[in-house]
Amino acid sequence: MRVHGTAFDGVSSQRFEAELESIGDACVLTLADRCFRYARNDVRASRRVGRLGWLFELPDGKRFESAEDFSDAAASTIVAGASGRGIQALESNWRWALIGTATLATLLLLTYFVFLPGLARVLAPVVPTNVLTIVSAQTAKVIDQGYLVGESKLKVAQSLRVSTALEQLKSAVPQLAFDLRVRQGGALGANALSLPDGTIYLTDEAVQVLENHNELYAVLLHEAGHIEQRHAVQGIVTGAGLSLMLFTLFGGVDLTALPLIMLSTTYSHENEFAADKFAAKILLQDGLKPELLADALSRLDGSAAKSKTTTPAFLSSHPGTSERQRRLRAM
Amino acid sequence: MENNDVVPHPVTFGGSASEYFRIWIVNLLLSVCTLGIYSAWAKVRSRRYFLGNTILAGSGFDYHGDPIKILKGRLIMAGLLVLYGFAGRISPIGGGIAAVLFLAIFPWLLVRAAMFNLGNTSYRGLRFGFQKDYKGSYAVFFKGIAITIVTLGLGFAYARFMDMRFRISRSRFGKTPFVFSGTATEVFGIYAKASGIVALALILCGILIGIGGTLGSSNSEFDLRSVGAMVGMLTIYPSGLIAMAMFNSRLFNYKTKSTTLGPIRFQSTLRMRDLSGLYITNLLAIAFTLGLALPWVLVRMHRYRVSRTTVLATPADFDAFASGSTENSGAVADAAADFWDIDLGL
Repeated sequence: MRVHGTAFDGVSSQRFEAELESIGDACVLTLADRCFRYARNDVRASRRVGRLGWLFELPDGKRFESAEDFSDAAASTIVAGASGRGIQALESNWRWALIGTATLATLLLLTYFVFLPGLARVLAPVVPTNVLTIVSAQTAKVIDQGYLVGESKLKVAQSLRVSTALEQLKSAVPQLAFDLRVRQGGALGANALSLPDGTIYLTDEAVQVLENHNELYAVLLHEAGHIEQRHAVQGIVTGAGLSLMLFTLFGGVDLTALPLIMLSTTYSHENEFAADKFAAKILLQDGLKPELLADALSRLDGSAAKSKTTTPAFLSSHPGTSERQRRLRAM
Repeated sequence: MENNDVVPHPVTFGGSASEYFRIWIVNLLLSVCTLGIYSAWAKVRSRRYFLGNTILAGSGFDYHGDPIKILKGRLIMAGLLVLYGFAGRISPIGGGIAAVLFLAIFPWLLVRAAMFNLGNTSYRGLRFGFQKDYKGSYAVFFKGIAITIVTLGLGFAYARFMDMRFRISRSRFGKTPFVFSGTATEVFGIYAKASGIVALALILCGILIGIGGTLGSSNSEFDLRSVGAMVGMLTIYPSGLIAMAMFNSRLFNYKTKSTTLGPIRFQSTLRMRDLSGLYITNLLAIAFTLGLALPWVLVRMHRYRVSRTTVLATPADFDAFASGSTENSGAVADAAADFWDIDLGL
């Protein structure tokens, strides 16, 4: 077997016409009327990419390239086990490209809708409590310094309503330890939010709007749902997974911020529904109606609408209130 | 043709988007199936495809990175990133320390990455290389930060100029070093123009929002204030793209014009309007195909850049290079540094 091509000596950038020939257990490179002899096992053939030609690397730094299209079998007579096929065969076939695209799409959808949320649900309960405490303490600091302004200025009757609702919550969900903090809402307006270690923030504005203590209780139950199911931890897992997925897919191209936000909303919407469901279940056990939460949501929304512009649902962490109410009323 | 006439040698790209698409999709599929392990091999195949199909004076380039080293490097980097993420979550001080540490080793990383990248790139059987000049790298990096701070940002262009000069003049082909002869004045000009475009866009955006704000009111059903804000914001994106196209084309042309390799000179004629068009269509294509157009985008960008670059040399010049000391350290640290894909623009 004799192949024609070009060679470089590895010492200069000069290009030579050359031939590579297999003779028994040896390879002979002929270049500029000189012959170089190598043991067949010392010659390396590089794996081919696309239509790029064969490339043989010789032990003394010389390099032989050939544009001739010869088979793997032929190449093997020069270098034992030389193979351009394998991966290259997959790459050169459109059928495989299509199968690859379809498989990839299926895998991505499965990861997004099944594996990643599943992994988050499995990992969330395993995270030790002290990790939750550390993470929550950080967030609490940020919230206290930035978003929520000042101590609560509730009237006595309003404070009483809060403690009644809190007692209801404690007896309904005895397995969790809660730390309820009432603050002036500032930019957050009428709102409630929870941290994974059991801390619940409730704003004065929310207490003012929710005149019925059962509605207040329903909102606290919703937050307890987030804490019970460790949605914050799940969010860290899914967020990390999504970043990794986007990085693998688009590596060098920096388009990742917006898609990440849009893709995360599916998970956070699911969490809101799950927390609603948690609250509705306990309300029913107490002989109360899930509508209480639906009504509370309208009130909170109504007060928020005055101060805030609305974010489209596909960019917002929370699903639309009307959809949540529809589901609550159906329970 | 006389062998000692300087003639422009075009650089051509022989690859195609349809061929690269199949390589890319197989790379991606195997990377996903192996939880990212194959991505190191994928990187080598992609590099070899692009470099091997880039032809100058009858010969292609090649890439010799060892996938195992790249994989180990990536694992180290992934580990560090995870640690960094945790440090930031547990305490802002931890995150701050990690960020400062990263800043402190960045100039070192830059040199290691360049050594790995260039040391594994070859043309006509000779390797490129990068000088192991840590001192120079630290000097350029911290001088750049100091100048930028002292001049309240105005000196940033000079910092970039020093960085460019360092990277190009420490690179070599065989044992022949690249020489950089550009001036800082030109870089200042390019930065000034790009900032001008962005400033104009911001002013225009402000005016539009202002008009909307004055004419509109919250009482009317059709609120002109939000229309003004929307249209204003929409002017920002295309003008940002145009500024980027201007900036990238001028800077690339400047870099090639200012670089010589022995007797060889380079020239490139990227144009702002071409690049703007490419950027806009790239974004649209990627968005509408959910990313499937990425290989096409990479191929057309590479082909455009290559097709507008010429190498001025006599045919004999290409034969006259000699191999340098191949201090092929082969260290995993180099591959790890290469994780950032630090682009040398050569």
